[in-house]
Amino acid sequence: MSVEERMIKIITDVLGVEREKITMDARFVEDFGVESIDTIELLAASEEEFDIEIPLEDAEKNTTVGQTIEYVKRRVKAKKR
Amino acid sequence: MKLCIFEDEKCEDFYPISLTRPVFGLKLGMEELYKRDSRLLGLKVERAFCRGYLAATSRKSMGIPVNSTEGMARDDWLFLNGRSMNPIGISLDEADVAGMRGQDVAFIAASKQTVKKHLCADFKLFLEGLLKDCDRAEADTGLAAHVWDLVLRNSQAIAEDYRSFRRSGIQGEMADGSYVVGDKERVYVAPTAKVDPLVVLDAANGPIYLDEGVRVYPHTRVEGPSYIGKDSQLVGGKIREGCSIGPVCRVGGEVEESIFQGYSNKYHDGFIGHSYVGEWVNLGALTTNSDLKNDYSTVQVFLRGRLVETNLTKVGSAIGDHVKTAIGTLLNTGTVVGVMTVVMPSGEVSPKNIPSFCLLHRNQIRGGLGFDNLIETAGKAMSRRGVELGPDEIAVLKHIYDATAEERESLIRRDRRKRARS
Repeated sequence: MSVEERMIKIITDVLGVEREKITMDARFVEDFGVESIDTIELLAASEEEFDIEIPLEDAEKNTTVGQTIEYVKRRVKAKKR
Repeated sequence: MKLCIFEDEKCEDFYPISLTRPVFGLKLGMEELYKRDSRLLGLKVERAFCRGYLAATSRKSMGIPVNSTEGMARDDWLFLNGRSMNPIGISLDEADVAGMRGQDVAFIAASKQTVKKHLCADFKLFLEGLLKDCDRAEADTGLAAHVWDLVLRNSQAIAEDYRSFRRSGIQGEMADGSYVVGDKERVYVAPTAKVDPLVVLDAANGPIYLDEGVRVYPHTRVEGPSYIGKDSQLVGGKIREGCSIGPVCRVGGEVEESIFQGYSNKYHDGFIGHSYVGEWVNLGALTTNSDLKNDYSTVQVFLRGRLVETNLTKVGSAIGDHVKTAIGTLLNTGTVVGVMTVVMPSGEVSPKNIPSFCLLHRNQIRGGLGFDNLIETAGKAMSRRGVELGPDEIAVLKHIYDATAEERESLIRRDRRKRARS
């Protein structure tokens, strides 16, 4: 599975959001009602899935699904170097 | 003779509580150590020496010169170790004597001539110089070596302070249906304190001191010796013996032989025992610490990256300033929680070493919420109590953030490796 597919699976699992509602423009807070605890859960699940480290302050800057996926892709790529 | 209080290098053995304040700012009985020593000696503290990054905040809170030797050559000085728990056996009439506790300087009483001879800007060198010209003797003054020494001695210190303050009786409001057990002379309710109905103040085993502005709500039982500091609220539950709480704390549930530095909340049920809680801490509902192992063996505590044997069977937690625990948090016996850390429970008992500025989530140490975010939250929390988080306080926290980065990052990496293996 690609990073994008794995991230979408994490988002559906952690937030309980239906797959068809997950678009690249979807906003975590406004569209999915994400609260701080959800952000931490998403962060933790992403860190474990990709074996990367994501500072919470970075996670909070990524307000949409697309931004988050791009961020994780960059971290995964950086790890491979 | 003037009183100068100083930190030695062992102040670091009081982490995380001494990360944000000089060791002489820690509490024992009814006051900070330096205030208590000053009262017991009958000398005003006129000078203090501490770690450099704490000088500005200490100067502000103590209102005296800090880390400055300027003008000291004009007087005789008593240099007292800030870890002193009972400054006894110090003669203020003798000069050029040093009281030692093993290798540690408990105090130096120095004449102005000796002070003048050795005076220099470097306090450590200054003290070493003084020591050369002093007659040394083993001191009776007890020096705390760790946070748990203060907790262990707290009951006795409260009783001593109660006698020293010479205040007693119900001077505030004590509602019908509230009760004193034992000698009423061992209870002091300050004029602006208020005790609601269905409160029991049990002074059978020690005095109880409710300071100005204290409010004790119904269904609270307080056992002496206990001290409840200014403007604190007890909101129901059991305050067992040996507790010093406040100022401006809100405490409920069960607390036993613990010190709350001030401005901290433990509003709900849950047990805190044999612990030291810093300032601006919020313990979520049902937060509980273990202070006794099931096999009754002695407790070891992580201190600056290594396990230290306490030789005590009852040791709770040391919780740094601005720590927040979520509901249902369980802290292991002898747990240390660093400054500004957020603890989120996993249903399991926490690891014993949780560094500063991190997030404990699913029992694993992760990067924290970010320095700027944490400062913003702390500022909000403090402003609710009318206290400003100013540039000097932020500079202290930034220093700690940087100084603890290596330990934090090492533990984050360790837990990442654990996750990768699992």
